[in-house]
Amino acid sequence: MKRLLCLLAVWGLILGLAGCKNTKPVQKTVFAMDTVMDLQIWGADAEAAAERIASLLTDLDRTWSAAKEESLIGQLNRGKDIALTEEQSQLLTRVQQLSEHTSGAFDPQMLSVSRAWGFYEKEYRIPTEEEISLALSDPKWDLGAALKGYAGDRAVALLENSNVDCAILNLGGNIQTYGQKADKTPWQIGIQNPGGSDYVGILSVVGTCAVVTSGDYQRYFEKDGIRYHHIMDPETGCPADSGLASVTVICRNGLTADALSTALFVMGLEKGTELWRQSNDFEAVFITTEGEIYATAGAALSGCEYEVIDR
Amino acid sequence: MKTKFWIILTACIVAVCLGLTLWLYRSGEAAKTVTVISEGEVLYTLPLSVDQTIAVTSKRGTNTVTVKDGKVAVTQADCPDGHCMARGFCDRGAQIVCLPNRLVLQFSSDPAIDGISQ
Repeated sequence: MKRLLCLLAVWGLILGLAGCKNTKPVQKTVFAMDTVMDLQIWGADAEAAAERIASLLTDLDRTWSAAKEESLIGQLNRGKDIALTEEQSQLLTRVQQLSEHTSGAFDPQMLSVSRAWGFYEKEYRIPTEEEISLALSDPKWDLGAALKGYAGDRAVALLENSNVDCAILNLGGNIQTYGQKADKTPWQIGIQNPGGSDYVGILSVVGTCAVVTSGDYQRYFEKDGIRYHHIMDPETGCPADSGLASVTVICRNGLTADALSTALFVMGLEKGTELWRQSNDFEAVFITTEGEIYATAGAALSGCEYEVIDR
Repeated sequence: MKTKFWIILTACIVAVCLGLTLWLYRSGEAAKTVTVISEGEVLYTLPLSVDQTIAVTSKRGTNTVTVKDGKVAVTQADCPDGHCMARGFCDRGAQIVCLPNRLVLQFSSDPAIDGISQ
């Protein structure tokens, strides 16, 4: 009888422990970088960590937003000679390296081109060829395609120095995971359906990782039945037309993931695959405008039919 | 007498454990809801099973949120772009956002995923 009691007590304990994985995270919604950001953090100091990440996001926005005249980047663009902190010059060096690494497909100096199409003032228009070539010859900083990824890296650094168990941050569509879930299962990240409101497949990622998607559905306007989206091809100065509807990049580093998702979107499936074959620090999922899905060999994709790209 | 005591105690523990199991199981299969967040503050959590229309007013503007036939949409908004309305009626997926008015409609968590990359 006593043995049975012990057994029941153990059962109760296991159930109680299993309940821990259902403990609610601290949740916080932050408006920054012209988008909405959701923080979910588990652990003893989750509340404090969420506050610190929220102010980090606001600070980064204030410093690096190209739309704000008084921001650091606004001043750089006006040719002001400003002393940069080590962190700031490191970021500018990194984005330039990423631009070189992607043969210019990711270009952090496309502000004039985006402006010509009205993506900054949100007064959309189709510029003339003259206006486009003028904008292309006027390189101005715009870290819009890299800043959220960088913010993810900075948030991870902050979480590493906090007493928290794990976290998942949605930074305007960029997913940044931190640590391992309480039940030790991988994070399950849906990939947005470019042509709908649901998700098309699920990526399993382990530990701290960034999952970043660039797509033609995020910011766009339509004129005479044609969609003009916000990802500019640095070669043409027009919305990239590479046959892709979205590219998702899975990478340990958020900044790299963000810049690469833009670069691969501009490059298209073939050139993007080539870049992947030359690299070993990321995986990718390509969705074509026809809805076909291609995933690189290391991407743990499930829940949809797709073709695997081998090394 | 002593045996009877043990039987009752065991029965009680079994009942508690069963209850706990059921409760844990149920909480994992909660009904579908949508959480209305205005300027970062959670205002309501609405069940998608109850049709209703509410107006959400922030410092920046007003959006009308309609729950109908198990789905939710922003059906009216005074924001300049109307992106929030363009999404239409949904019952899952990424959150519906009105950036100008700082309104977020978040669906109850999908047990299959932890987040959506978009």
